[in-house]
Amino acid sequence: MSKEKKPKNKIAKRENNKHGYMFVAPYAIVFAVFILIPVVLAVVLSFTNFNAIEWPSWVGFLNYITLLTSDEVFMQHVLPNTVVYAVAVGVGGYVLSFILAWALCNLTRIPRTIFALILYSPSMTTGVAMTVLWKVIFSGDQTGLLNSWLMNLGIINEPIIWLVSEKYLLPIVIVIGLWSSMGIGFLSMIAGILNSDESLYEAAAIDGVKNRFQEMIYITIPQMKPQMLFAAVMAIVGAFQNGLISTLLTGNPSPGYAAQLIVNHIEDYGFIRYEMGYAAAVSVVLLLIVQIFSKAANSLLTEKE
Amino acid sequence: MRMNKRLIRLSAIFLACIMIVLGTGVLTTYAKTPYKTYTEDGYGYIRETQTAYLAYETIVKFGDRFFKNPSDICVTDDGEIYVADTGNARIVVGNLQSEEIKTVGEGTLVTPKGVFVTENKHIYVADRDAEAVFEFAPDGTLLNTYGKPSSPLYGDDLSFLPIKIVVNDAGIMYVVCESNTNGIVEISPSDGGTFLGYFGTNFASSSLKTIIYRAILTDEQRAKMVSNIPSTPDNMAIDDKGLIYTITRGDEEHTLKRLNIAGKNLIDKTDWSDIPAAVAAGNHDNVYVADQQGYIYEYNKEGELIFVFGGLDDGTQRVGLSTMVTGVAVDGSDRIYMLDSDKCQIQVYEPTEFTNLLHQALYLYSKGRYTESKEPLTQVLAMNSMFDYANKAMGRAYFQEENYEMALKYARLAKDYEGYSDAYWEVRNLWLKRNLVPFLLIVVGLYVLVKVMKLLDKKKGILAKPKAFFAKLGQKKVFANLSYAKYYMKHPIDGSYGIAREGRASWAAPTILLVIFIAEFVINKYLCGFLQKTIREGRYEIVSDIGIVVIVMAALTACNYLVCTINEGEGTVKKIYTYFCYSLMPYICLTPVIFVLSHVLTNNEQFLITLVQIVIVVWVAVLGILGIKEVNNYTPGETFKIICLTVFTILIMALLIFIVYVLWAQVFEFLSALVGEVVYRIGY
Repeated sequence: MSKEKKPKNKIAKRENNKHGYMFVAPYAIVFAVFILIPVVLAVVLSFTNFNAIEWPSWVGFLNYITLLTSDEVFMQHVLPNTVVYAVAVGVGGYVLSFILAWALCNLTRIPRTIFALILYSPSMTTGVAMTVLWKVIFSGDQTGLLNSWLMNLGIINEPIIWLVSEKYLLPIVIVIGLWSSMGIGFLSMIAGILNSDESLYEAAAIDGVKNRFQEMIYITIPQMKPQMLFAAVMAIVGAFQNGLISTLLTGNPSPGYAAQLIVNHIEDYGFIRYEMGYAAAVSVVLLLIVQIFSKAANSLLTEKE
Repeated sequence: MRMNKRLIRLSAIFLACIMIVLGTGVLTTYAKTPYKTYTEDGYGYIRETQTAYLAYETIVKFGDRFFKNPSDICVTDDGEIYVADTGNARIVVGNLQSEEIKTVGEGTLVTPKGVFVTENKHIYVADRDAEAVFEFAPDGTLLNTYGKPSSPLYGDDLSFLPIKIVVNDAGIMYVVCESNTNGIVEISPSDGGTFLGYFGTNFASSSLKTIIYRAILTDEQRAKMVSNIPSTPDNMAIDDKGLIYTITRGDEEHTLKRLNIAGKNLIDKTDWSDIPAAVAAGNHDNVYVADQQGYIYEYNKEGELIFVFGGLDDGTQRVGLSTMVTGVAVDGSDRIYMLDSDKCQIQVYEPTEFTNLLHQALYLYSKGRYTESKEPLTQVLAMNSMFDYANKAMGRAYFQEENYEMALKYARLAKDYEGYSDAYWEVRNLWLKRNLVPFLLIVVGLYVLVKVMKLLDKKKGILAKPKAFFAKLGQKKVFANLSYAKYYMKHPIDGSYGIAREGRASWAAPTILLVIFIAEFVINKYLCGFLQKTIREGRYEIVSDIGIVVIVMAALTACNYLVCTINEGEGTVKKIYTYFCYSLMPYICLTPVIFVLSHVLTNNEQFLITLVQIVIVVWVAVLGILGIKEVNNYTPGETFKIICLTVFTILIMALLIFIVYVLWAQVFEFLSALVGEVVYRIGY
């Protein structure tokens, strides 16, 4: 956002950057108040024992040690679930949104817009869709759509209570996550593909590119690296921060912690048990994980020659 | 002559000696059973162990009453034996000394097929041809008769042919009926017999084939198929908690079931016995299943096999073998009574000391007295240290005592992966609690050190010399090619172009990579963490491992080359060898990660290893396929064809080598026979 190159021209030196800072100030203040200070506060809180009523007391690294050594739910359920969910929905959703974006870009303008809107809508309407669509499909009695289909086909004999079953809950959450993963990243990919240089395709055709697939590999993807990177970071952040689905489906905490993600864990400690210090520690760990994965995506998708 | 005499005398003495030795041998092995006892080891293999039960007694009659086709047996805790003497239409009661105590139901019963005795000595008899269940008082007077339930829920056109019965503490009867596939009939004694419903119904197993059939066939076609009817339970038993054990023949997975009051099965699949005939609940949360052919299987309450013993009598009439088992029962001192309807006898088995100790330990463990259970377990292990079941129980007992190091040791001995994982989690937890802060400090310290080194290098160039050394090394062709393998891993398409056109193909560098690959493969296979180990402990097949990798690599290169040359491919043997070896780079780079992870992760975090493994497989496959495609300059379709052809060629080659080998073996056999013949003839 704010690439501050050291100004070397004379005007900037003379005016002492005053005007520059003034122009940046509105954004800087808002950013500091709503993002920077809360993050710093969270880091500070993570070293305290804070129950939202009394003044926080300093406990040092205790929260982190507890998190890594004694929080069995975190180690046995939350972390594995989060990694599985993030890999499935982050990577899977990323690949899916690229393929869909590429497919859409082969359409003409009007159907493309309509389909893009249709595909984009699940990411905005998760809450509504959950009640009208997914809860009906995964209803636990024989009137549930999925149960009734499977029973008609003779695959199961009695209805499966999908939303309470520890075995099926995480896969269900992943499926819904994939369904709603066509978000901002998807739109940016469409933009990236549409903006790629037509003349390159012509040149490639003259050079002997035979099919759409080769076009995609050799021209489209290298052309839209920035959008790909943006979509990747959005996908990772989105996947790690998504805890809404299982809460809406089964409440928090989910049965047997089967679909408990880090965000649910933070909510559990922060807003159910009011152990704010501990919740802050978990969210700092989440921040670190997201940071590490974004770095990894960065180094994978950017060339550093 | 004289010599001969001495020889005779000597051999006579020798023979006498043998006789004596044999004679004493007979005496010492008096207790030797005509059957072997087996147990299941930690890997799930059947393994022989010491005798668990000895043949103790054979009862053929009570007083002067012989049995005729007896079909069920029930033993009370004080040793009274109730036999459903079907052929003589009576229940005979006797004891272990073959004395008759009483006879019940003569004149009333028609074909008593099942008998059950409650705590207060009420006798319940399932009579098939009388189509009724009879209840007798301890003195033999008939108390109640329960006929076919009148409830419409029972099914109007179903007949009532009771063959087995058990009764729980509340007096509710569970009756197995012949040709009734709905399950066990549950009858309450109130109002002269109230039908409560069907219990423990087996489900018709639907295989994938039938599911597909059902999905695609029309209704008429489906009607013509053999109807898929669940098999009815064959026999059952009840334990002192009121849990009911059923056995079902022809059920491939759930031969034995342990049903709670709601009819839910509590044990996993047990499929050891094909033709189970009877089941009895033991006194230590264990259960005995008698096979029709005379094998007795003892399971614990989880359905894990403890012992198998006994066997089919092949006409030798040895004590302890059976021909046609129809019933089994256990008394208060763990003696097993096995009813043989063909031999018309009861075979009694007595537990050995080994078994008694094990039972004691099981009992203590199931009651939560872990520390006490260790004492008998130690004795069991002193008798048979390879008895994995005892090792496992020992590990679990230590775990409950929070002695995790010992739990770890015993779990590993017993191949108890679950127990090992739990114990390891605790051990690691303790270590983390003690060492987390120093560990984190070291990590941060190392990070800072590297940063500072880099900074200093930038400012003052302290690393110039090593850098120059590596740069010089990198100029050598082998090392240049090795670092090119790294490039290939990240940029397979561009890398393949280098192999094809820029002279990056070589022999030395790929061979070095292959050697590293083999080394990592072998190390990871034999020295990885216990939970990841796929091979039995203490077993090493390194030569064959190396051989397989080399042969597969050679076959892949050779066959791919053969196929490519006749399909306008541009690869030479060298290039093909290079891209196949370079494709192994992800494995070479990521296997150390797996190796380290396998030593520090428990089952909870297993998914991390699986994830890395999936990444390796996919990455290697992508590299290999892209190598074939780009180096040979193929289209995707051609690449697919080439891969199929290569696989096919490898199969043909394997077949060819096999045929040549067989033919040569024949030739060698012929030659050696010929030579043998010649030597034999010339010798004379």
